[in-house]
Amino acid sequence: MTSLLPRVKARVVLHAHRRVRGLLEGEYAAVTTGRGTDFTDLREYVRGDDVKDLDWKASARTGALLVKRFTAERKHHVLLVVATGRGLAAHAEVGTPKRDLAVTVAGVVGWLAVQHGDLVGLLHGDADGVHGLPPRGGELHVERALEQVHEACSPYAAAGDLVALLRHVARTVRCRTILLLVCEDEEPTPEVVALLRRLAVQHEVLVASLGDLDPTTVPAGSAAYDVDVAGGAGALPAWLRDDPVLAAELADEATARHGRLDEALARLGIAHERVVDADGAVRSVLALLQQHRHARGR
Amino acid sequence: MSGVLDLGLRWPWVLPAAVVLVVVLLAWWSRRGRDRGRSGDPVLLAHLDRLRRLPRYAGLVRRRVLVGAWVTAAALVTLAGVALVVARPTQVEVLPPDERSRDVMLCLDASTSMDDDNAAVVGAVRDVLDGLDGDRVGLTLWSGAAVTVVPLTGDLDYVREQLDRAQQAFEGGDERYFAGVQLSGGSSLIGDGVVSCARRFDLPTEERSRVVLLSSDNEPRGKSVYDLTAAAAFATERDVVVHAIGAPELGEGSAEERDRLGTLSTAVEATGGVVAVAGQDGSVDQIVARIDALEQQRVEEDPEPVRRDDPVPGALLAAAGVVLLGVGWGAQDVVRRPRRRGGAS
Repeated sequence: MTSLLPRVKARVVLHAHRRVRGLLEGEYAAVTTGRGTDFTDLREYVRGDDVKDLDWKASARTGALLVKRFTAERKHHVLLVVATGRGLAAHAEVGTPKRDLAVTVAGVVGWLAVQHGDLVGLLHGDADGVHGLPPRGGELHVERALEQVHEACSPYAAAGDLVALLRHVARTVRCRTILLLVCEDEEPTPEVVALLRRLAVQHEVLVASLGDLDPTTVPAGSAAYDVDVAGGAGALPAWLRDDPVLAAELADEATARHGRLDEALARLGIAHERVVDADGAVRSVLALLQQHRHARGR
Repeated sequence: MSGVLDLGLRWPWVLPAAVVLVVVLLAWWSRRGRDRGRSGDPVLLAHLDRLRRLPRYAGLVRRRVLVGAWVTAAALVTLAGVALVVARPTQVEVLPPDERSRDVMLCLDASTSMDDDNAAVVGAVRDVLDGLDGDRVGLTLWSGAAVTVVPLTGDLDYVREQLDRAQQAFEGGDERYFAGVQLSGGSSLIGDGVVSCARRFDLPTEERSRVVLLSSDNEPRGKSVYDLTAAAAFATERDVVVHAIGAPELGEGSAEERDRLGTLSTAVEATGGVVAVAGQDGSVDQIVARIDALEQQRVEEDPEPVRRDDPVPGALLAAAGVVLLGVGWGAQDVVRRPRRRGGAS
């Protein structure tokens, strides 16, 4: 439990070595394209400025406290918004709970951000309420955020509540951020779409949705349980796996739902990737960032 | 013939035991199901409401419930049948005491003077035989020695045939029929005759009434091994009742003849039998009636209730349950078999 981030890093190195190096060299970042990364100007210190940003030499020359503007501009806020809850304790593929995918996705983005010197914040929540960490830098902070996400996704947690979480984000987050939303395979209800539209105005929104394991493909040896039913009472009967008609109907339903979500997000101009397994998770994140950068480039 | 008085269970505690067994098994199964889930490698799934909303899912569940209910009912029926068999339902019947429990040995004096009486005895016994099937009857002729003409047998057709033959022989005086009875020195050795007849009863261990139907004029000539009194004691010891039919002249009243009749009746009555003198009306019938009466008395004294296992209803129930179970399993197989896509669904 103590080493979520190293695992994420190992995954990144394993699966996408070359492209991540490229990202680390500065390709990541969205807001910076509009401005130079250099120092722009100095301005007078006002209360609340980071003392680290003071330009002591310039201040000595002029006699007033001056802060360097560029530093503050370059530090983007990356906000990890994870719709936690017991739904994420369910499996995305056999042996891999969705919370592992959520940790991987959030971890890759958070790690890239702190590598880049940006600040990473966390908001996660379920039906029981929303919790989070304030934006800060450093790998330790990312590690703490990932642990918090991991713990919030036990099978005994409350059910997920995406709408409440998004409403909370819209209400409380003031600054402009790069907002990574990690959520389940959601149905794009009008409420969700409206909230996302609202958030997309303020933030650079990226959405990673986590796919569910198809109940009809559970291997015959393992028992399957409904995470929404407490105890062992939610055991799924084995005969579910034997019926091809049922499997086909379920696949049709999933395809239709994915189509609806894709369409809704595309209409909002929000980058979206579907994460379905651990091996593809890093690739999906990179594709998500790429997609986002291209969208910004337009 | 046999009255069914009661359908009781020999071991009635089996039924509650079976119920307890079912409950325990159900509890065990449900617990095992839960434990199995915990110990195995469980897969958690979310958003199963999407699965449950599918029409196909509802259809499958409906079918499973139907088949499951059917199989459960069939299993319970089978179990009930088996439990019933194990509980040993018994029918209590009052059987008349064994119909073949009488051994009647006709022990006839082969003296020529007795022929007519013998024919009457044989005829009378034959008539009784018609009314009481199941008796074992034998025929022994004696005079100087005893010859078994018909051993004790329950084969009534054979016995009837033999009695007919004997009757004809007595009526016609057929000497060949009496071959061998005069081999030794004497004749009409009544003591030896009675003992010989009493020895003819096989199956000494079974509880049967044994009757010797003796006909004689009680006029022994020659030296016999047993005298009549000793023979009567021998018969009594073997639980054999001797009825005697005396020759007609015994009823004629000379002192010597009365004495012979007296000896005979003393000996016979010592065994519990009676003496009748031939030629008097109903004499033979009287004896035959005594034999009948002996049996009827037994019927009245021992109306033995017999409890007999009657597994047929339980077995039928169990068999029906097995058939239902087979049908249910067949249907389950059909339900489980995936239907082709593009079919009726």
